Amino acid sequence: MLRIERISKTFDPNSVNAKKALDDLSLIAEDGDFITIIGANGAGKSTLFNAIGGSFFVDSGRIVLEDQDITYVKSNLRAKKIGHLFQDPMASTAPDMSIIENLALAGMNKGMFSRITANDRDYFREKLKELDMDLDKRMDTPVRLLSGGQRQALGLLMATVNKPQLLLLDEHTAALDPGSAEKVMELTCRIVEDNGITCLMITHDMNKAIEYGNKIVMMDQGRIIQTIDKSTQKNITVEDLILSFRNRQGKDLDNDRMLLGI
Amino acid sequence: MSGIISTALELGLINAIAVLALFLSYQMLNICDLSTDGCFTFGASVGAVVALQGHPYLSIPAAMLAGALSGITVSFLQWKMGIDSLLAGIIVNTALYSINIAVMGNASLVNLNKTDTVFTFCKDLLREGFLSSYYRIIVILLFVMLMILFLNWFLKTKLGLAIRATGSNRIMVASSSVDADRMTMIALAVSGSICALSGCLLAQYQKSSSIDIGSGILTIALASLLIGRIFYRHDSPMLVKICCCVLGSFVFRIIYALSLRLNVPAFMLKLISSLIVALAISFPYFYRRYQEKKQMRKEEGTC
Repeated sequence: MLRIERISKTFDPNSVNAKKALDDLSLIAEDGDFITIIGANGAGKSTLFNAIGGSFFVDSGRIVLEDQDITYVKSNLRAKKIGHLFQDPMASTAPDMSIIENLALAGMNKGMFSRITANDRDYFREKLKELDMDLDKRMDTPVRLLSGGQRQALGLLMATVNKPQLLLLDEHTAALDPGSAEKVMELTCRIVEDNGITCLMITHDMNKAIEYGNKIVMMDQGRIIQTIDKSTQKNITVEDLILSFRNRQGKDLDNDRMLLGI
Repeated sequence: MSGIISTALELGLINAIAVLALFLSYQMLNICDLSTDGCFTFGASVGAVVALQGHPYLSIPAAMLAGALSGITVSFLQWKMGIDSLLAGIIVNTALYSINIAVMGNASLVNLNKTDTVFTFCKDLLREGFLSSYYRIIVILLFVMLMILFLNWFLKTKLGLAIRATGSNRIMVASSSVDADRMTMIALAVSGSICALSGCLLAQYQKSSSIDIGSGILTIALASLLIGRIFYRHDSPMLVKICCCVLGSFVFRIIYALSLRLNVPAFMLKLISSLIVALAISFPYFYRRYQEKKQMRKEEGTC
């Protein structure tokens, strides 16, 4: 379970460029929740993820993951429990290392001086087979030779090969071509469901926000303005979301990408 | 003639060890460690002084420890003091000049003519054998092989993978469980100790160490490394990549020997190595420019 209690973050305080990116934000993700997060550009969606991931420490508030207060835990220690996938497929894998080496780095829970054994290879080969991208036959290929979709699928596997307590997906299919995006999304759902991973996903595609997950969170100006539980509101539509935003904020969801995503 | 060739071979192999150090820091970690010159000299002077005290075997670990210390200092300046990686290397390099003179007992030269070294030890060992005239190359080959095997092992361990990931994709590492700063420190320490070993061997090989024994070694090793880069592909096995560095060192020596044949004076070595480095690094840039030009001409043709 992830519990975020009233976190705030202001970048460049005491300057003309001071920007309150997170404003007294609270959020709870129960075990097994799959929460989609929508909001206009600059609403603070990615900033929220970076706060959870530990790229910076928040000014106030607490972040608690599985009963452990991680508010001031360094990011590389948090990464042992939190998987983070970005929009850029190049950001989640090391291009000069082979597929198996990337996987081993993420998922081999052995000592510093351990090497990839035949057992490890078999284990990772099975995992790669589940991606259904023929990557299991090219385990020694450097990752730089893979397509964006393949790299993102590998990144997803790396983020989840040791079951994380939380998975953060920051528009992880937005930079892919439609075919790959669909494939990666399908894999995401399967892996998240099979392992019961608690997951937060930012998306600009409101259809996706409605289609996937069990809760929708709408953000604006560093705050959560609405949480929709899909078990109580089953037939919610994109129009409902847009209308609801307008009623609450007194303005339109001014995001071209978001509208085009419909 | 055979004497010239074997000397070239021996020097090339000693050089190859420094190239392996750069392979780790420059190729794998993607950091250009500008303290390489000073670190090489540090290894030479520490090794020479320890050998002079009558401990030829101890000189090797002592030199390597000194090199590791120099590498740790460079990464400390980056990690804990917020200094840019290039500048950190230059600062340590400059500091090492004074330290090296201090180590050599306030002198800029240490003479090992009558001192026991790892080479004389091997010579004594092979006194009567048929290999006795090859004692130098045997010692050097032994160390080169050891370093090749060590690097091949090291870079495939989980620690090695983490170091390579740090060099390959900093963005990825920033959001992963790998501590990039710690990896940089470990890699620079290891690469520093290998570089110092190279210096130590050269000093004992030529029976003297001087303050400028390592000047220009960074450029020479970089030139060798970039020549070696030609011989392997992205998906070559690690062992092949490492051996190609040694091969690159040979090819560099051959180019150097050829230019001597053309009556280029010996002091031109550093100019030649600078040219090779400049050309090798800029080659991808020129190639891209050439491709763009070709593309532009093609489009003009269709208009």
